[in-house]
Parts: sequence; C-alpha cells; structure tokens
Amino acid sequence: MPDDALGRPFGVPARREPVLPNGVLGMLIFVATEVMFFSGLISAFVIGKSNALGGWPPPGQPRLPVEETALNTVALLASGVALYFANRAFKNGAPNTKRLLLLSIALGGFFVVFQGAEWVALIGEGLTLTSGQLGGFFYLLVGTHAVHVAAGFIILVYTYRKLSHDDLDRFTFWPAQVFWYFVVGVWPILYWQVYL
Amino acid sequence: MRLARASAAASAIAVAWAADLAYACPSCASPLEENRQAFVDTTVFLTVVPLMMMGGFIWWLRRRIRAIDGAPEIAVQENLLRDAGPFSKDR
Repeated sequence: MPDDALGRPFGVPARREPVLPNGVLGMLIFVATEVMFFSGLISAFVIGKSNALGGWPPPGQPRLPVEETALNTVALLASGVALYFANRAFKNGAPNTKRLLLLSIALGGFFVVFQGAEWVALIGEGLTLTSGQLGGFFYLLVGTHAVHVAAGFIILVYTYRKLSHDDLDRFTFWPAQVFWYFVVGVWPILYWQVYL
Repeated sequence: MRLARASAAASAIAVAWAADLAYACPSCASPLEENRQAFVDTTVFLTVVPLMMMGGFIWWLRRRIRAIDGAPEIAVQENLLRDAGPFSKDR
C-alpha cells in the first residue's frame, strides 16, 4: 500500500484534534458548579449585609485590612497573568515555561501565606466565626475561597512536577489553568463585596 | 387528548395565578427597602449567571468547532509545503 507525504498508509483517516478534551470539559462543569456555589454565598452575604441594623460593618467589630488585602489581590492577579504567559511559552516550546509557572505558584503561595497571617491578626482582634454576622460571613466566604486557592496551589505544584520530568502535556495543563483562572477571577468579586 | 391538554393549560394558569410572596422568606416581606432591593438584585444575579455561563460556553464551543473545521484534515510537514514549487507556502 503506498504511503502519503508523512509516511502514513493511504486510507487511514487523519486524527482530528478533539473539540474539547475530556479533562477540560470535566473541569469546566466543575467550575460551573463552583461559580453557582460562590454566587449563592455572595447573594446570602449581600442580603445579610442589607438586613444589618446599625449599618455595615456592624459597630464594635474589627475593621478588615483593606489596603493590605489590596496588595494580596494584586499578587493573586499577577499569578494568573504569569500562568497565562507560562501557557504561551509552553505552547511555543520556550525555555522560560518553568520559570513562569514557578512564578505563578510562588505568587499563589504568597497569597495563601499572607491571608493566613491576616486571619491570625483578625482572630487576635476578636473577629471569629461566632463573634457576629461579619465574622461568620467573612470566614465562610474568604475561607471557602482560601480552600480553593490551596487546592489550586497543589494542582499547580503537580503540574510543575510533571513539567520538570518532561511529562506535561496540554491536556493536563489546560484543566489546571481553568481551575486557577477561576480561583483568580472570583477573588476580586469577593474583595469588592467583603472588604470594600 | 384535547381535554388532557386543556386541563394541563388550565392547571398551569391556576398555579401561576396562585403564586404569591413566600412569607417564609425573611427578605420578601422585609420592611427595609434596602433589604427588599438586595433580594431582587440577588434574584436577578442568580438567574443571569447560569444563563451567561451556558451562553458563553455555547458561543466559545461554536467558535472552536469552526476553527477546527477550517483547519486542514491532513497535516503536511512545513518543509514539504515550502518546497512545493508553484504551490509553495511562501508564494
């Protein structure tokens, strides 16, 4: 049987690129449920806030660190940007993929550590889960997001490990990015609603 | 069959007619205007978000399918395209 220009036998159908890899589809469905979950939490917070007598934040409660968290927000957004450029470098086979991915992971790690320090300070000031509506909503919303950041951080570290072993393909990298972009994208909304 | 359809339509109209404020909801009958407004805003938000997600996904999927359909089905090596004489890529 004669071969074509690429050495494949004629009559063998060419493999087409999948419209959407299974991993990405699964992650998109998961992220869609997460979007609705966070939307529900934010809606509950908005209604709770509007119901508070005496204004918001409730009097006698510690103030949330708006400026410090703005810096942390910039770090998380920068992490998303670094991941975007890491993906571009990965697609082009550029050597700086590892460095950019590492930068993204480091910025994500900085966000988690900084938020942990912020929580320790707030608990010290008396803001706890049971201290009132502000504390309850704050730890519920920001805590749920922190769990997602921690999970995303683990996923990125796993991705980096695969990249280090030259074992990373885009079908693994892509779902990891979808999750991290979600984590990065939802944070400014939470910051706006909870802190400002 | 027609009777069944008419009954179904009449039932739907009756249910729609009977719908009223759910007083179990702490926001629906709140005396605070800000609270009632927040309830309306969040209802709109929770209605629009899933529709936007589904719409966005379908739009993106359509674009991707078109992009894939536009791509050649058989991959040809770059050097072969370049050396294809009058059909070469650079001409």
